[in-house]
Amino acid sequence: MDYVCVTTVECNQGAVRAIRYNVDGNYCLSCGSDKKIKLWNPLKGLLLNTYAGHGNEVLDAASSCDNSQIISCGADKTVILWDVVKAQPLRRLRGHAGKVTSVVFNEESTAVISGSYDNTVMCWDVKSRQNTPIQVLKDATDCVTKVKVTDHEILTSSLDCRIRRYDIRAGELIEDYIGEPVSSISYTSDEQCILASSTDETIKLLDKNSGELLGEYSGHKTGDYYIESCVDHTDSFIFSGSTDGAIWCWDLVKMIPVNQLIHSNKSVVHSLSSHASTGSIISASGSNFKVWSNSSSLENENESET
Amino acid sequence: MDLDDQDFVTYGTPLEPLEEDNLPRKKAFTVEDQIVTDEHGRRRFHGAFTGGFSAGFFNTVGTPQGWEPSTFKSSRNTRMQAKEQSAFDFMDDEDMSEHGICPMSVQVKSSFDNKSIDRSELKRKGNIGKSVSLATSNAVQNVFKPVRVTIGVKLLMKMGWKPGQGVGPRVNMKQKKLMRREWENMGKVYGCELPSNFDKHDDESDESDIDVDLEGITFAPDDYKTYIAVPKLNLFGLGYQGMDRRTVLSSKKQELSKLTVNGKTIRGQAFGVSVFEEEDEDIYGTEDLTNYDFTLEPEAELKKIKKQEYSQLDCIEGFHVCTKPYQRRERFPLPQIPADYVPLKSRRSRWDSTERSEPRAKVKTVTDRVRIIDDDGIASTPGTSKLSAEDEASEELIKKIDSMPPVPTSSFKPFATDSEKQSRYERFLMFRKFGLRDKVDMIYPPTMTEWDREREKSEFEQAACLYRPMSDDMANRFTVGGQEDIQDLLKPVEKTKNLKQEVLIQAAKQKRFGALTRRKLNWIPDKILCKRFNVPEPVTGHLEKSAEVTKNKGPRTSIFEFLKSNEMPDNVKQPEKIEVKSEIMEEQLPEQMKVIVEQEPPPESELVAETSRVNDTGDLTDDIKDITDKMDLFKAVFLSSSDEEDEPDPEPDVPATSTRHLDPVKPIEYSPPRGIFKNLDLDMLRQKPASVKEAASSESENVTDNKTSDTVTETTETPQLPEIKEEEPQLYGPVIPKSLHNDAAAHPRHAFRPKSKKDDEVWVEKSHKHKKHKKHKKHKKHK
Repeated sequence: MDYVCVTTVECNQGAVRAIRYNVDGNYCLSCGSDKKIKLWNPLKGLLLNTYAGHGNEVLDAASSCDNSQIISCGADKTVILWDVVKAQPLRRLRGHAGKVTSVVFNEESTAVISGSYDNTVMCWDVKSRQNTPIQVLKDATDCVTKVKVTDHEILTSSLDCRIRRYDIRAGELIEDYIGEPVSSISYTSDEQCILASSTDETIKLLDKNSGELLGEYSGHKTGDYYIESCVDHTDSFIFSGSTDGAIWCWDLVKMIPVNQLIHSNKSVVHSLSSHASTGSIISASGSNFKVWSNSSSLENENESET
Repeated sequence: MDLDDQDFVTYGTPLEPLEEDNLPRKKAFTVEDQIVTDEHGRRRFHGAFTGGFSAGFFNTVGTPQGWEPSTFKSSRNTRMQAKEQSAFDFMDDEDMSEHGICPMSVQVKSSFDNKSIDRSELKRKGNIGKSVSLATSNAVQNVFKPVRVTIGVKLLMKMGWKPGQGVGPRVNMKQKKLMRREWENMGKVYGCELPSNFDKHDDESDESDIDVDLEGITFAPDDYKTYIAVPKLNLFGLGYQGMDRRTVLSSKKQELSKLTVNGKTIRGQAFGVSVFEEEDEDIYGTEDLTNYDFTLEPEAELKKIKKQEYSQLDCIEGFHVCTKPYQRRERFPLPQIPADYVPLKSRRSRWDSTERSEPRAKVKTVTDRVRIIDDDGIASTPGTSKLSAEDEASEELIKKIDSMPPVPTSSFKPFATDSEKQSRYERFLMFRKFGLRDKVDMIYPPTMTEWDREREKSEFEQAACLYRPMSDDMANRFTVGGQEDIQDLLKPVEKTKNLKQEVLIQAAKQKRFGALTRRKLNWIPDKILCKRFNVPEPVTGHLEKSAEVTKNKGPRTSIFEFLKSNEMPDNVKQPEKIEVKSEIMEEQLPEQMKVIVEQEPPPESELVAETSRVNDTGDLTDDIKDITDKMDLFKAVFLSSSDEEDEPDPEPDVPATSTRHLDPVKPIEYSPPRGIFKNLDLDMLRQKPASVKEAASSESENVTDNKTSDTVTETTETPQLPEIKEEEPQLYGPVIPKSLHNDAAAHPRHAFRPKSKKDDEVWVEKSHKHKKHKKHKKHKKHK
């Protein structure tokens, strides 16, 4: 449980609103408040490309499974599909009536799910040339803060204190009441549990199938920020940003804070992304992001490299 | 001369002695002298109608002596204004006169001119002087006369009647005169009645006048005069004619004025007034009564005397005192109202605060009266004393009821205005409750008439029916309003608490997440969304409909949905839905067939390649290399279908419900081998797949019916058939083995539906189909 800051990258794109790994974790995307998205090699801190085209702050981004496309959303209420190489927007999906807070590709990157301040979740077909959403999920009664996707589920969190899981296969909507506005959700890597951080400065781990509370993690500070949380690839640790500039780390089972990775002393760590296969996380604070790697995994890598 | 005296016999009449002035002309009248003149004295040409024609004076037309019809004018200069000549240019007024070529005056045509009638009428008019004017006044009537006489007139004429005559038997002169007189007297006679003998005398004189010659001759009676009512245009009384305002001599004067003496007219009275003289005032011309004196005394004196007379008589001028005294009607004086009288219904002002001193006399009710009478000891209550023994039990009950305080069964009091009636009603209800309907009469006071009782009874019955208190079932559904009616409008309204919400919040607080905080709703994902997620569409009976419903619905769902979700585990299908599906399938047979045909098995090599790829990705944990296990093979193949997908809607026409859960066996059931399949020995072909099937079935022990169907699909997809199928892909499917057929027949059709407990199975099937389709498309593209 020793995470070390591997690289610190100054993005030069204003405040970094979100930092995201790509599918395999070789690249990362930073969404800036200067309306740009930047594609990085996180380990080397190398800027690969810049995607400019949003009309306002970019709030979230995701890359497709084949790394050929990027989907991003922003405060300009649009969702933009980018061509990675050309750095050109392929499609602009307009339909939301408010800031689009979260966007994800589905597993095959054929559909895009976006959640917005307008209380809706929209499903877009990026295969066809359809400009209207395939389906609009209007169940949320407050802002949708985060959208996650598995092979057959859409998971949304909303400020109406509820997590909604749309099971496409079963044709069901499972609504879990959390009691507090949910600012961020994420799946564990086995996709059996849901990690939900709420504004009451707690993070709850819920069983997906039963909805029972498995664990609760607290200690960090959230303030008025949407602080993200994530689970590492081994499903053993839980990470969360905090307003105190540290990344809090809890043991999943024991529910005790194990570590605090100090990102910065000034600003809030609000965005986190965990590597899919290696024990590394990426955190954004202010205008920079940092890559943290598990020392053991680093050693492994080094070994493999040598 | 002596000769005169000689006896000469003279014959004939002697010629008149010739006057010296007009000696007979010696010369005969020449043609020139024989001139015909018109009415104006002008010489006149002879017309065709008027005795010959000559073109001018001895045919002098066109000559300097004769008449020139119209001067010739050279039209050389005025060619354009060529004068158009008309027939009128060659006519003079004679031609246009009545007898001319072109008469211009309006005339009655001869056809309308019934001469005979006209003449007789004229004659009649001449006879009756008054009617002449009438006839002339009706000039238009005279102009237009009917051409044909009516049949009645015709008949009369045949019988010898002539227009102008009266109808009836012929009379002699005496009778006719009598009739005429009668006729004349028929009108009103004003003035004095003629003495009766006067008439007679006249008659006698008339009779004497009658010619002796006319004694034997009979005449037709006079025609009846048509009585013409003269409209009254003035405001005078009926029959008033007023005084003739004309001067006495006016008629004479006019005659005189017309008098001509030696070609000169004389105006004025008598012999006229000279040019230099003024005419005298015509005193007699204007008649006025005021000009006449009626008495010889001077006027003033007469008036005085009259006034004196009237003053003496105490009488208005022009009246005189009557001799008979006028009898007055007797009058009776009105009765004197006593001074202390106060009217009963005095109008009270609403501002009058003082209360009425004495309230109105209380209206006595029936019972009051009864009491009064009872006090007097006159009447006694009838019937009560004559109760039989058997009634005693109920009597006791009644007493009990009576002793019970009248607890109102409901707050509603239908007869609140009449307290007695209300109490009776309450007792009535009690009686009803205790089943003493026949004793209900007890509650009525004995003074009430039978009719009144009956009426009240029915009234009570109705009221009891209407205002029955709510039954428990219904009453349970309503609660008394939590909040009172708003009295203080400014009071903040309390937030209504949702019980469910409360439970949720409580559970969240207590960290009892799970069943309490969880809510499951039906949600129908879009077809395309399912496709994009590579997930079969969830099985819900009528997808489109339910999708709409959920769209419209809010987050709340009905109880029934909860029930359903409780009953049904996630992937278990409901039987009735299955039935529906099977129906759909029947309907869409051909399409299904198409789909089946499209499910060509990939070449073996490709399969292997794909499986190896799947292995690389590591998505599949099972051992895929065992190709004999077809089920797993297919799973493997179609699980790896994430590599490409390019067209958005592979089967847009086919409803998802039918295609997804398609039963491949079905079409074969309905279509026996035909065409080229007819002669094929399909039994032989099915030998190999059977062995495969055996392997599959042996592997999975919990084979359900759906599994068999799966195996059937396998059999259909054996690589032996593809080329045949490609030839006629639209129509035919392979025949299933007999054993399977029987199997299918034995089980109800819906048993074939994949009742997958594992999601993967469904998934596999879907993707499998998908994949196949894709392949097909790709193939096309390559072409």
